[in-house]
Amino acid sequence: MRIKTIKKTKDELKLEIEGEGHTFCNLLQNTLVEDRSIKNVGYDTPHPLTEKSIIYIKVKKDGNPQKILERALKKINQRTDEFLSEFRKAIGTK
Amino acid sequence: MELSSIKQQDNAIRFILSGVTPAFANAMRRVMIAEVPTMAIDDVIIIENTSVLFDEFLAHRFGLIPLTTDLDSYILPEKCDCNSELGCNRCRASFTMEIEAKDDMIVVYSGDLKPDNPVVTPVNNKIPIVKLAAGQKLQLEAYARLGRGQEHAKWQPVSVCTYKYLPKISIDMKKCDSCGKCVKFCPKCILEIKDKRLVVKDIEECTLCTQCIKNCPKKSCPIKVEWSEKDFIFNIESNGALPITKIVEQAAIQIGEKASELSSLMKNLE
Amino acid sequence: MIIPVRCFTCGNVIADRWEEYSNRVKGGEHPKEILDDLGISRYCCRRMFISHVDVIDDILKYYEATARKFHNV
Repeated sequence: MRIKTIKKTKDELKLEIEGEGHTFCNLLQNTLVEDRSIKNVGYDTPHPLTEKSIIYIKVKKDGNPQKILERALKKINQRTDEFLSEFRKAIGTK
Repeated sequence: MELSSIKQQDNAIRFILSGVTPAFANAMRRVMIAEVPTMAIDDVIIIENTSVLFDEFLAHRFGLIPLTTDLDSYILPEKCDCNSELGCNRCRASFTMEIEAKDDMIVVYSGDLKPDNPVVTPVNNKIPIVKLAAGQKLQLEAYARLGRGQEHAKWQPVSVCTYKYLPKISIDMKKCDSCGKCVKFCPKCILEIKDKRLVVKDIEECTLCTQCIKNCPKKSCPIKVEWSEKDFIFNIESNGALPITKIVEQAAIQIGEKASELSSLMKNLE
Repeated sequence: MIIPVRCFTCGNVIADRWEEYSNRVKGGEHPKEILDDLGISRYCCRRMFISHVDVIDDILKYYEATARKFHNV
């Protein structure tokens, strides 16, 4: 994974993520939308054959796009951890 | 988040995952299909082939054989630092095969591949590769490596990996006269008449086709078919390369790793 | 030519069960019963069996015939 900032202002952030497609970006987008200080989120995979995605975040007045992105990533991490523990509990190991 | 009614059967698993977003369920499905790595033969060096099949036909068939995968001792070639074309001990496993039909026709099976590392072997030894007539000979070397389903379907650890919303069927008993017409029309046979009342037998089997509503003789149908967008019925089948539970765990681990990686990259950006 | 290793549609390994299937069909059993018995439940995998013709057996005969001819000369 490699990232590049395309646009960065006070309330906007546009990142190019190399090596990720719909699998991760769709999850990230939908997790970001849950955040209250988000005004607008979207992602685009400019070409289906290139492994590149562009994610765009616009926040409300009180927000910081970078912090909100980190918060969303943490949320994804928590959910996968929760899934793992639930799954292991259900199949009866650990 | 809750996991319930888990049913595991050899290489297949079925469970209900409640309290997640469709995006999470879909990310899980997509990672299981395209990004959980498995072993598969990728390079075949054919030394002698007098069989009736072409070299590339044989190589393709070898590639499709699922191999038992050890994710702890092998790494993906792109992450390996050996820079060798055919890989090193950390990123590839090799096989040899030498077989000749002497007096009679023989069938070459996947079990005739001799592995260098006994941990990486064909999952099934009874997959026919080619038939050799008397006098025909086959000699080759094969190199397997870890790969991902997004590159080629031979690296896909699952054959079936689907989810659907958990259906909800409500019957208004004030309006329903239990005529039983919908019972006949349901393609999955999930409805039945019990004690002269229409009841749902197996809700998980419902495919949300609404044939019961379409065929109801009443003007306003008492049956309501809905679904929950927070509960998912997962149906996953492994092809044997990895144990089914490992595939599901690995998928969740990988999504988490992606998030952590992006998070750490964000910190370096400043 | 020879039974495909996997189902074209779902990617399930099917080739390992071909021999039992073909032997039992030759023995007069109904394909439906055999496929149910072998645990091939999806119709994509079932059509792989039903529609397959093992042409390799016929091609081997030509090879054997030419080999014999060559041997006699």
